[in-house]
Parts: sequence; C-alpha cells; structure tokens
Amino acid sequence: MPATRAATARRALREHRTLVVGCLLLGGMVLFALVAPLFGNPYATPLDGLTESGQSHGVLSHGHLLGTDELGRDMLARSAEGARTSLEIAFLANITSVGLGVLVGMAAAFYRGWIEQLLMRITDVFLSIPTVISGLALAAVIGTTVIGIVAVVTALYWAWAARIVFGEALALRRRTFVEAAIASGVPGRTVIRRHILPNLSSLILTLAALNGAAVVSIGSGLSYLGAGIQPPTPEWGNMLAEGAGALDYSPHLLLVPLACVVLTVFSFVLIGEALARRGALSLRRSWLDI
Amino acid sequence: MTEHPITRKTLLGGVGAGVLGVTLAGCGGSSAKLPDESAATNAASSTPSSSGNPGSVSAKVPGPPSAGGTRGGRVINVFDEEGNSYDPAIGYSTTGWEAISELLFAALYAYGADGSPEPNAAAAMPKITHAGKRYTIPLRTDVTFHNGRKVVADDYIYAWERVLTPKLQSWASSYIYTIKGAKAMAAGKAKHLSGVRALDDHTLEVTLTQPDVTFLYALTQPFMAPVPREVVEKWGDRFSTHVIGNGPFKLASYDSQGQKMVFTRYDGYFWKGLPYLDEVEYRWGVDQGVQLLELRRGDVDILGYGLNPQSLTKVNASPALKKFEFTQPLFASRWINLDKTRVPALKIRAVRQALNWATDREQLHRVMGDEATAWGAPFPIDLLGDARTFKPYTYDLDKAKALMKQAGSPKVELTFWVTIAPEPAIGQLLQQQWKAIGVDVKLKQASTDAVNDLILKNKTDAWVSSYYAIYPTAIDVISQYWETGGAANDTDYSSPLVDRLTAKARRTPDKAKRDALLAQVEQTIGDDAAGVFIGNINWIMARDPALENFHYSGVYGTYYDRLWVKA
Repeated sequence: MPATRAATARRALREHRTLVVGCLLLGGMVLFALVAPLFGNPYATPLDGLTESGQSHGVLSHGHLLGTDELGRDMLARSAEGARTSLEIAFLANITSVGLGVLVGMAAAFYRGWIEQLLMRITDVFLSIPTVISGLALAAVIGTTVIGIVAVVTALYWAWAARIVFGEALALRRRTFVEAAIASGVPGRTVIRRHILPNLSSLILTLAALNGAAVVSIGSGLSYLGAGIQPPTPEWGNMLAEGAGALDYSPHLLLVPLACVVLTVFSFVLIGEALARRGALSLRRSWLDI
Repeated sequence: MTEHPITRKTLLGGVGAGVLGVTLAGCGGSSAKLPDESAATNAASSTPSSSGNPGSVSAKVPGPPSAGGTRGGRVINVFDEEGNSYDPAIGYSTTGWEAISELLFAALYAYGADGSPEPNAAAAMPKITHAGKRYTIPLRTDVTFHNGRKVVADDYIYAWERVLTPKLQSWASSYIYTIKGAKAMAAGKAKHLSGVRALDDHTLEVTLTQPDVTFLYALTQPFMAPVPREVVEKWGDRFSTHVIGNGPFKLASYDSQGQKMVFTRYDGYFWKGLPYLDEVEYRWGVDQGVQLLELRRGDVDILGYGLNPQSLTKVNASPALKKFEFTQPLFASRWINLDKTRVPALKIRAVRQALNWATDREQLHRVMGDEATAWGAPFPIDLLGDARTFKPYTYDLDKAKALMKQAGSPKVELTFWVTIAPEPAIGQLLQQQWKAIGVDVKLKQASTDAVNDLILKNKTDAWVSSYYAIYPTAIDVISQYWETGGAANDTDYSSPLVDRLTAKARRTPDKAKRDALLAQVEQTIGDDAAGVFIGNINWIMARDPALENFHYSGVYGTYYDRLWVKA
C-alpha cells in the first residue's frame, strides 16, 4: 500500500539520515568530478580572466560562477578538475591502504606465530611514524604524481587498518565455526576467504569510509605543503596553497577549494559514522548523535 | 664557463637589493613625515640610547642628502631569508648583500646622487694614466676597522686577493679579471695579485691588462672593501658571523636560531656625524604575509625583500597598506634561458624566435602586477636609452606559427624549472601560451639552490633568470650572461660578434659611442633569440613612511647611515 510504503521509506530515511546525507554529499562530489569537462578548460588563462589591475574576478562576476584564480583561470573548472584528481587519489589510496591493511591483519591473526610477530611489529613501526613529516619525506622520494601520492598515502595508512582488522580477525579465529573448519581440514586460505573475510565486511566498509576522510585530508595536505600534486594540475590541496595568502583580498581562492575538501571529508565521516553505529565499531555512541 | 660554481645568476637572482641604475643609484628614495598616530607605535623610535644633534655632516658624503638627522633609535628590517654570508667576498643574497653594502663595509667609491662614482673611503677620484690601464688611488687616512685599527693599502690588496683565491670561490672574482695577474690568481697559478701594489700605506696602484671602463664601477662594490687579515685568520670560515668591517655599523650579535642579528652604530666611522641610528636589527625567515601585518602594526620598519606579486596584490587592494609601498627605479630584466644542447629543436633560431613572438608579455605583466613591465628585449628598458636599435619582441601568434612552420614544425618538449614566486606563475602562463605553437612544457618546481645546482650540472631545459645591474652599463649583463665564458652564461651562448663588440665597448670611454656598440650587442642577442625576453623588473618594497630621510639604492639597499627616526 502506497501510504504504508511511503511511511516505511520516511522512517527508514529518518533512521538512516546520516548515511543518506553522507552518500548524497559524496555522490554530489563524484558527479561534480564526472561533469568537470562541462565547465571548460581548467588551464586556460584568458587575458580577461583578471581585472585591468591584475586582480582575480570574484564569485559570480564576469561570467565566472566561482570567480577566477590569480592567473585568471576559472575556479569552477579548476575545482571540478581538482575534484577528479583529489577523489581519484582518495578512492585509489583508500582501496590500497585498507586492502593492504586487511591482508596483513588477517594473515597475522590467522597464522599467528612468527608471521604474526613479524607483521604486527612492522605494523607497530608504521603506526609510530608521524604522518605529515614522513609523508613529506616519502613524497620527495617517490614523486608527486597521482600514483606517487597514492603510494605515499598507502604507506601512511595501511597500518591503522591492519591493527584494527587484526584484533577483529583474532576474535573470529577463536570462534567455533572457524576452528571447526580448520579441524575439518579446510585449507587456511579458504577459511580466510569463506569464513573470516565475510564476517569482517561491515568492519572493512566502516574502516574504508573513515579512512576515506583521512585520505582526502592527507592527500590535500601534502599538496598544500607542496609535496603532492604540482600546479598547474588542479588539486584541492594545491589550490588551497595558492589561495592561502589571498584571504583578505580574494577570499574565494581559499574558500572554494576549502569547501570542496570539507564537504568531501564530511561525507566520508557521515557514512563512516552511520556504518559504525551498526557495525563492529558501534560500541560507542557517535558524536553526531550528541 | 668559468670554474666558479656560484654564479652571478645565483647572485643576481637573489640580490634583489643588489641592484642599480646609474642614474638611479642612490637617488631614489623618499622622505616622509611621521604621522602622529603612528609615532607612538613606531618600533624605530622605541629605544633611543642617546639623542641630539650629532654635529655637522660633510656635504661630500656620496649619495642622497645626509645632514640634519637626530641621533638615536632603532630600525628593524625583516627579510624572507637569511643572508648567504656577511663576508664581503661571498655575500650576494638580498640580506647578506645589503648588510655588507650599507652596514658593515664602505667601498672606496660610491654612486653619487647623479649616479657617478664619488670618493667614499678613497680620498679622491683615482688618477688614471698609461692609456687607461693604470689607476692610482689615494686612500683616506681616517678610515678604521670596527676593532679600531687603521685601514691601510695592504688591507685592500689582501681583500682583493681573497676574492680571487680559488678556495674561496667568490662569485665576484670575474668582476676584477682585468687587473693584471687576476686571472692567473683565480686559476691558482699565482699566489699574489701582481697588478696591485701599495705605494705607501695610503696609496694603491692598480695596473689593468687593458683599459676597462667598468673597473671604476667595481671599486664601488662591497666585495672590493678592505678586510682585516688578522680577523679573517682568527675566525677562518666563521669570519662571516664575526665580521669586522669599516662601515657605519658593526655587528653586535648574530643569533642563527632566533633568526636575527643586531648592528650597532660604529662611532669611529670616517664620515663624522654618521650614522644617526643606535641600532639596526635584521630578522629573517618570516612569511611576507606576516611581514606586512608586522609592518602595519609597527613591529618592523622595513621589508627588505621586494614585494612579491601576491604581496603587491594585497598592498594594492588595501588602502591601509598602500602608504607603506616604496618603488625604486633600477636596471633589471628577466628572461627565460633555453638550453640548446638538451633540446635539439632549440638550436633552430626560428624556433627560439617563435617562442619570443608567442609570449604574451601583457598577460604576464597583468599577473605580475607592478613587479615587472612587459619588455621583450635583452637589456633593461633604461639601460641603452636612445642608442637602442633592437625592436623588442611583442605578442604575435601568427608570426610565431609561421616561424615554427618555417623551421619544419619540429616537436618541442622541454622541462621548465621554476623556484619561488613569481616564477611558478610565469611557468604556468608560458606553458599555456607556448602550447599554441605546439611547444609542450613540463613544469617542475624546486628550491633556488636545487635549481642552481641542476643548472650547473646541465640538467635543465629552461629556467628563469632575473638580472639586477650593479654597474650602470650593459657591459655588466653581457659580461655575466652573454659573453663567451661569462660567469653566469649557463646556456653557453657564444657569439664572436658579441665578444668583439663588448671588448671594444670596455675600451671606449665615451658613453655615447659605447652605448652604440652595446646596442649592436643587444641587436645580435635579440635577433639570435638567445633567450625568451619577458620583462623589465621593477623594485617595489615596503617601509614605514614614518622613517625620516629614508633613501634606497638600487645597488646597495637602504641607506642606513643617513636614516633617522623621530625622537
């Protein structure tokens, strides 16, 4: 019955509003990135992109919805192109860092012994390294391409996932159905794939969402500090750096990329929090419910 | 190429303060009255240790007016970066150059109000004999070092030999190669400079290998100032931070960690009655945005680095900051170097010319603000005057495309290295502009030191040079950048015609005839499109308008010796 279905949908929307808002925000940013070519060439530097005195155009002026930057380039086109770069880094680095962490955590928990000792001590070493400083150092060595930054972020964040997955997988390893499978002679890799991994899925999903927020922050942070994606390639972090000194005369140069970063991080946090409340990380109440 | 790893490119890219214009040196500047409302917060007047009229000041002090000041007070100058050295043979970066030029040392001659060299630590102008090859220089007898010892002729000889010592690797050595025996000493083939001798304690005799009109200009530079042998030998490599000179201020403290140094008035300075200030303080390592805030608050008095384009935009957009802006005309230009050995297509002159015609300098100028003026010729705008024959490149995309076609439409890919502002903006704009003629530019950014290192190792395709003249003649820029073997000729540009004309110009005392020769040199370099010439640099800085008798030299920096603050 339509009325009942509508009521159910409304109730579901209320119950999952955090998740819905997060998904809408993230979806919006992904869409923004996908339609980037519609906003024009982010590298074009038309002479009328600046005022006669060399000032950038502000928001909603001279046909530029989000204004122009200090070289006269369209901020909307650059923000959208920047979304492509930033989200590409975020998604790739998220997959690689969580993926590596899950593999290490599960292997250490399942095989125990020297494998656990080796893998978890390596994990401890990586956990003890300060993120930003080591990120800057790694970026200087690995390079400032998208792949390079993905590698840097992966190196910085896989250990967090490994540590959390290890704890959860260890508990699963002691569960009866896992021990029974092992006792029945099921190969270890099959046990991991068929019995442990599926039971970690909600945890991994939650981890990925929360990790996404961190990855977006550190990816942009590295570019902001000059160790990430280099201009003229637009990326929110390097756009923030370009606009940082212009806050008092062209605030849109800072606020536009800042809004992009904040909204994306916020979307990941909302999704992560929503999932966490329903999964393994839900023992505490979310700060969003306070 | 010379054997000196530190080049004038390094020097002049950073000097900023080391900049001139003959007619401009020493005569730029302003003197503004102190607004009442800012007097109370003016750091410059915060701690006068003494006050009152210091007595009459000689009218012979070279440069802007110096009389009528009030003794006491302190001035704080803040810089982006620490000086590379405070040793006059080594210092070249903005901070170091100004300290050795205007605080710690006094050269034999200094540019006067009309831009001509006038006696400073010398007693009179040199007597020039032997067809322009011998200079006899009388020295003042009242010049002392900060340790109280009298300066004698041997101190100059020691200082000049030091500049030429291969071990020291002074960037300035090539400036005095025309002294007899200088090249041999720089090459490590002689231990002493045979072309210089002390006739007595207060007379120097210099013999040149050939007449050289620029030698007198060299004598106006701080690297030609005397240094005390006993102090240098005592401190060795640490002389830079224990420096003893003969200038108006002496080094009181150097705090590397605290990023500041303090200079106090030297009461034994030979220009009696000067300086007026008790102290000058240098600070460094401060972001320009913060510097502007400090200046506005009255926490500092002078921003020693020129304002970068972003700071200029900020200043132009803020009426409250505009009053701090200070412009000093000078001879300075900027161009893009192209390494023909790394990018074969750049060997084709038509391709290089196409790059020049495809460069929209008006757009660059708009982004740079007032920091530079669109200018498509090799030498600074005001350096040749009416003698100029070369018609500067402008923006003509059709002509650029035609030249590329004429060259066979070669594939041109180059890596363009940029350092600090405004170079990244220049690189990004040129990347777009040159794409229109099929030139693919890959941008890379690194520190100034790193890029200089790459240049010396021949690992760069294209990079920016910013040249600030310290001599009021184009011979300066030619000898460094365009003459075969020039100290900063990192593209290995070589033209027998340029070499021949420049050598002739050095021997030509008549300015008009000399400029005519130099105009031919510019025509040759310009026609060759030896670089992509993009702009004439303007020196815009910021200072507290409350400072009294503030004058700035395009060559040396702030004239601290005649600066005072309201009591």
